[in-house]
Amino acid sequence: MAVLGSLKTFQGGHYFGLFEGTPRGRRLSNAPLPKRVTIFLRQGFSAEVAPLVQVGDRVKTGQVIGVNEPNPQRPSTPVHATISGRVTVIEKQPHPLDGQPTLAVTIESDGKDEWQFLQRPAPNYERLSAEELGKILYDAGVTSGGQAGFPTAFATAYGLPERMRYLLINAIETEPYFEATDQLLYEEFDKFINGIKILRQALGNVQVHIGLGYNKPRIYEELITRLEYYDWCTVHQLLPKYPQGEDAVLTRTLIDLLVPKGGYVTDIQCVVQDVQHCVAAYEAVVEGKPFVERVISVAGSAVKEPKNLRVRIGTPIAELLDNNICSKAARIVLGSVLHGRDQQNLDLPALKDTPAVVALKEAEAELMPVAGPGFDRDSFTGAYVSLPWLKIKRANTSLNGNERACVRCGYCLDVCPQNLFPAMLGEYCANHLVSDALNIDLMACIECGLCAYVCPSKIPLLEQIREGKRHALEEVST
Amino acid sequence: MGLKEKIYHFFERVHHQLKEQKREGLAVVWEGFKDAIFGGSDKVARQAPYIRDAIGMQRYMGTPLIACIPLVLAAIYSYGWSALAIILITYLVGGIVEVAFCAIRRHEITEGLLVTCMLYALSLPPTLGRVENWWMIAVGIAVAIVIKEIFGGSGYNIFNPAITGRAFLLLAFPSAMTTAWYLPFNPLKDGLGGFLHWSPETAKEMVDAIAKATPLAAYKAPEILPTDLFSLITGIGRADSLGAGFPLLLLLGGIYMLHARVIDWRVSLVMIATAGVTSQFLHFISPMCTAEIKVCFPDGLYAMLSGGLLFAAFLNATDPVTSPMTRRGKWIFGIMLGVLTVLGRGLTGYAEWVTFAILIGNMFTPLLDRFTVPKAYAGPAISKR
Repeated sequence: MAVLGSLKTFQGGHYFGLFEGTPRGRRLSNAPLPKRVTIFLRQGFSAEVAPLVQVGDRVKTGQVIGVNEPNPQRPSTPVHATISGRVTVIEKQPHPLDGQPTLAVTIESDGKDEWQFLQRPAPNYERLSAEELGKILYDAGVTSGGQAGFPTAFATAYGLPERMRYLLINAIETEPYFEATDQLLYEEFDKFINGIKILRQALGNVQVHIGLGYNKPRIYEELITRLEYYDWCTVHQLLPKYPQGEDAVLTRTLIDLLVPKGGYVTDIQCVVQDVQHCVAAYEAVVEGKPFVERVISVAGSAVKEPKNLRVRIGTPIAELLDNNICSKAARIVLGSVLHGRDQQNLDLPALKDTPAVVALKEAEAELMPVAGPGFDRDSFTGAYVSLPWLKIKRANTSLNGNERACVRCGYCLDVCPQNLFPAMLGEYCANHLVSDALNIDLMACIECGLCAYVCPSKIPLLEQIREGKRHALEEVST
Repeated sequence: MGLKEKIYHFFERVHHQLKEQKREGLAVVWEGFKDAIFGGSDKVARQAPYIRDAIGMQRYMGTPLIACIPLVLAAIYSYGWSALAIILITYLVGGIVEVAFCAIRRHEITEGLLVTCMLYALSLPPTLGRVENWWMIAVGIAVAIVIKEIFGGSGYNIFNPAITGRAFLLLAFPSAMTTAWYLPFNPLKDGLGGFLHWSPETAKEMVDAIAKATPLAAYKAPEILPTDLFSLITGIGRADSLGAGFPLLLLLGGIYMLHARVIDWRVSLVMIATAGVTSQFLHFISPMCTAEIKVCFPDGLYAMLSGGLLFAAFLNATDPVTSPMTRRGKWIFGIMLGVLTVLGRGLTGYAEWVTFAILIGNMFTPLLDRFTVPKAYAGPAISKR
């Protein structure tokens, strides 16, 4: 019998308003087949893999175009072509996530979309062993979601020698604009449930904890009905507070385990998967489809019509935003607007772990923007009047003035989900006092970006802390 | 091009010209004006996070000012237009000193000045509104701003500037600050009261416009009856500082600021509660006030309502720059202030001790922050495989 979890949450965090241009409740639609895709041979956390194809080769959708020997030290997955066509370019390009030059394969579509499925799809997955399932997941290139993008196969019996203890399902989306995964949960519920079963089996029959937003009572009841007779499953209802979906926060909230400083959830024998990757696991094992397509929200204040799309991985941002963007200058952010990167080059593609492409209107000069009740403003403070029936908020991209000296208001401490002292961390990091910063738990920061979001002095705390972490890692390695 | 753009481009053009002429000081001041009008909305987040909270320094510092509006109106009603004169003189002198510093040191004019001046003015005795006392107001605020600026301006000052100015006046002009008080106009019988008069002294119908003591001083002086509870709570017939004599309005402003999260209950409410509990406790164990024994503590309610405790707890002690940031630090700070206030009131020659308690608390703030860094929710680091 599934254990009924109670309403859980964590200290700190912030409930974001519903920003204008959020595709809430829009049904998933298939994006038109891209004319050209650029596929990076490094996805998320994984190591870069060696290309298997050459310029001029014809490839099919789902064909492996890059692979490394499986190696738990440097985990990687095979990389698949996501459309059928001809390879035109293989060269190093700046990776959209960190700007590092990374080998990328560009494929021109032939418009036919011929598929090459996995060799051993297994509709009766219950009969397969953990190793076999792990192999299929590896071949399909399923990675875990979130920032880490850790290849799932390496958490399974196929990859790591040590056993995992928990599988956590992140079915709560708390970031602004990320609506596609929620929509996937509604539309592909069966695949989601079976995906969880597959992943659990591949991890060696571990305990499963599902974190679900409490604002989805229908899904909750459905989950309880379907999973009622399994003693390995607990469904928790969580308050939809950002950053509930971050690995460290989810682990703490659901099973009360602390992720080590500077470590990953796999260090405490946990695997975190989100809805998209559960569905991908199902499609890989049962339908034999490699992970070449994911759901992406096209959202933001500069988008004419916000959408939730099924998109081939590697589709250039420009094609996703095609004709759907206001003519005004916009800032394009791949992934999270809180800790993602803005993209100048719109030829760069969406990746395996990109839940959204957000286009934000650039702020323009306003007369006395801080005066007035501010019904449409999102704020951690109560300094603006919010009315319950006016839910749509304006995304504020302006800094409300220059960066000021810290006035020590303490908001960053109040929102920090990791219970850190961001103002002091930022100050230390900006002054290169790395050892002092490490003393107050610099490495425990999960870079959710909330401290910089709420700062009334508009201090770039997130950037300062990231810089400090980079320095700290360099010092360790030298 | 609309009017808004025209104004914006005018500001931009002048700013550009000032920079070209190498008048950096003026350019900084000019940019301050531009930001005041446009709220800095033309400056865009260039790094993650790309969306920011709508709270900015203007709104943040504007909230205490909104909370002070009822106090200002009540002060003008109670003490006549001379109360407004005190506030205006403070803003004028404070503004001039701050702008001069900004132009010389080329840093931005900060909104904190507006709050500092308001809190300073509201904590003065209304008799400073007499024309012959105006220069004292000017000296006090000038000293406050100078001391703030020599530490580096808003954000770097270790002492609350409004309190610094008040403390300076207390030490420099003790008789003007502590001996003469106006009895306020009474809304139950004086009609429009202060709105028609310059001060209670100039009003014919006020038979005795001058009170001998504030409720606090009255409690300490055995020959004067302590103020009754009704006037303590409502402020009717209660002689006190400009803004400190209206507990109900202070409570209203305090609730608004607590709701807006601009102040933290861990400082203000803890401070008020501690002061009440401490005073009640000492009230039980210490003898009543007589002519011989100068040690006396009022009961808890009297301690919480009298003097500047409510005013300081909601508006001065919670000054973000000079109070701790951590949750534990705020608790300690609040308790410390409450205890110090009660002890100081009872044991020393000064009746009003909130001022000094806050100054002492301010000194401990950096220390409190350093020793109460919260413990991160993270396991110990493990060696990499």
